[in-house]
Amino acid sequence: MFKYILKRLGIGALTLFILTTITFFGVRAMPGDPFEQDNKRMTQQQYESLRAKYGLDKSLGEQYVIFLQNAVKGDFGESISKKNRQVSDVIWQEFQPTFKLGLVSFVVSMVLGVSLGIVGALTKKKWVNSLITLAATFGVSMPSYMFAMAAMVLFCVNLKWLPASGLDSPKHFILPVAALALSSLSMVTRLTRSSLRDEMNKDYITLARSKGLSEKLVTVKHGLKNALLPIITYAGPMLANSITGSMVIEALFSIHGLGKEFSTSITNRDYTLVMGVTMFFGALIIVMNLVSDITAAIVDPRIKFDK
Amino acid sequence: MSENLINYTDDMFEALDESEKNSEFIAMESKTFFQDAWSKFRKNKMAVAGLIFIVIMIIGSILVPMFSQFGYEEQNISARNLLPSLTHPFGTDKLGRDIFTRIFYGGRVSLSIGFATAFINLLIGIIYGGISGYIGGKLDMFMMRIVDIIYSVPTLLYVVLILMIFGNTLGSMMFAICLTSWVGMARQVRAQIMSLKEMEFSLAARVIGASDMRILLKHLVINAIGPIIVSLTMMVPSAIFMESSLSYVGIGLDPTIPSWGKLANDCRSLVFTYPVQIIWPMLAISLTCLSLNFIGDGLADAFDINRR
Repeated sequence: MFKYILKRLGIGALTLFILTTITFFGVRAMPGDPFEQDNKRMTQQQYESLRAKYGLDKSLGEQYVIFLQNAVKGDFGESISKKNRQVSDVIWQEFQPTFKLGLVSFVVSMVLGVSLGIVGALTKKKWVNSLITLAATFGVSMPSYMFAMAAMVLFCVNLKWLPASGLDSPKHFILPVAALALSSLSMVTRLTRSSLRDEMNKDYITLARSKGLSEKLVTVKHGLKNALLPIITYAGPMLANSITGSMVIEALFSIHGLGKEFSTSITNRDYTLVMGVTMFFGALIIVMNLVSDITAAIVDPRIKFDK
Repeated sequence: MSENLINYTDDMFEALDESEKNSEFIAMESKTFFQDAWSKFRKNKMAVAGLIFIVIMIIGSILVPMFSQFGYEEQNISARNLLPSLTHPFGTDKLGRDIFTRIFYGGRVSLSIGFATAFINLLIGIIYGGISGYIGGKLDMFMMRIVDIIYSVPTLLYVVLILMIFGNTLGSMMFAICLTSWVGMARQVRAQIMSLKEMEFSLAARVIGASDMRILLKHLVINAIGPIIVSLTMMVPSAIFMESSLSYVGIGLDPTIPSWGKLANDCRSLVFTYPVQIIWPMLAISLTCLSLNFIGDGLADAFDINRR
């Protein structure tokens, strides 16, 4: 197990390195540079000195080596477009709203999705099952931003129940969380429903029933325990997705988070900030995947590490 | 004695009617794989409805912009923000452009992105996953590591980056989506090939001396075609989603290209005053993706795939 984790961490580090390299040369290959906007107001000398300040006058190879040396030490430099602010500070500050939003929508989609999935799999009423399946299919088929927009028109404009922007109170969370959780909630519902349904048709469930165990015990202790395994594997990437995927929702609800920061930093050609955010998101996804896989392997002894 | 013998004459024999020929033959008419799948698919009402909708959208996207009396960019300042009427079935937008024409023109953009990327993914996935799964060993390990690496890259971030580098044209959008999404197909094909190549028919083909190429393409890939087609139908909506969300936020395609995401973006500032305009792009995207999902579910049932 230890060897497995070590191996996965190694692969993760390699992934992050390749990601960093591609991004490094990618952002510099974009047309324009960070000082383009104020270029007309600057003299050639000022422009040159600004470039020198951020080390952009050196050759690409040199810049890359310097960047790597600093990154290993955990220093991502100063943001170019935000004067006098460290990239790590910016990321840390902007990450908070994004993280809150992602975490809440993750919890909502897990709790609600699993419950709806269980109801869908166990209900004897056919219409309940069809309703849940249909709703889940709709949830997967509707882009989150469109759902958000429709909800905005209904709840913020026509009914005036909910605020349309910001993240100041619990009330502000309702719409962005609903929009962000929509697709993952539907996925979890579908996954739980089909997984539990498969599990309840297996022989060991029949055995448990014929032993005279109560239906509740059979379902919860035997069926559900096994049915939730695939959901654990799905949970890690899902949390990472709800955190990194909030770019669109943040723009829509004017929330100042990391997703919004990323898109503006690309438009501003803020090389250092783009690098920092990409590495941060990349590391987050890699770690989440790893945590998910390890948890699944601990819970399910059938999964072998030595693949 | 001779009188007792029956005199067989030609008129006592009569050709059996064609319909009775096989009347005692106990078996269904043999069907090819696709005929069988089609007959199952036809029974799924939602899937058939989805298929009909998609066909209508495709035909509409081709024909409506050709025959419409309005151009997709044609502005008419005196007819801004009109409600749906006979001349403008979906109304007009803030610049007086006919939304009906724009929706179907946007269909050309969005549907071609969806289908083109899915087919490119299919091609790359079959070649890459096929080679990786068929040859196996060290090469497979190496090729799958690459897939793992691409898989753990935040898709959205990379699409944005590629668009910035290569410009926000249709081509680079397709390239960006393909670059990040082919790995799913490659994994799927590899898993199928891995289990199929251990089966007897594959061994038999090898024994009679079929070349590797022939075994891979004519025996293995053909037998994996069901799951491959199903994930192909699921790839189309995800590509449409990706493009439309980016264009909606304003970092996607060039603003002059009216994809469905861009059409939704156009109504963004008017959503509080003319909410009816947002309904059309919303319906177009949602119904298209819903239809493709239903088709995918129907195909999965038809091909008898255990899919979650």
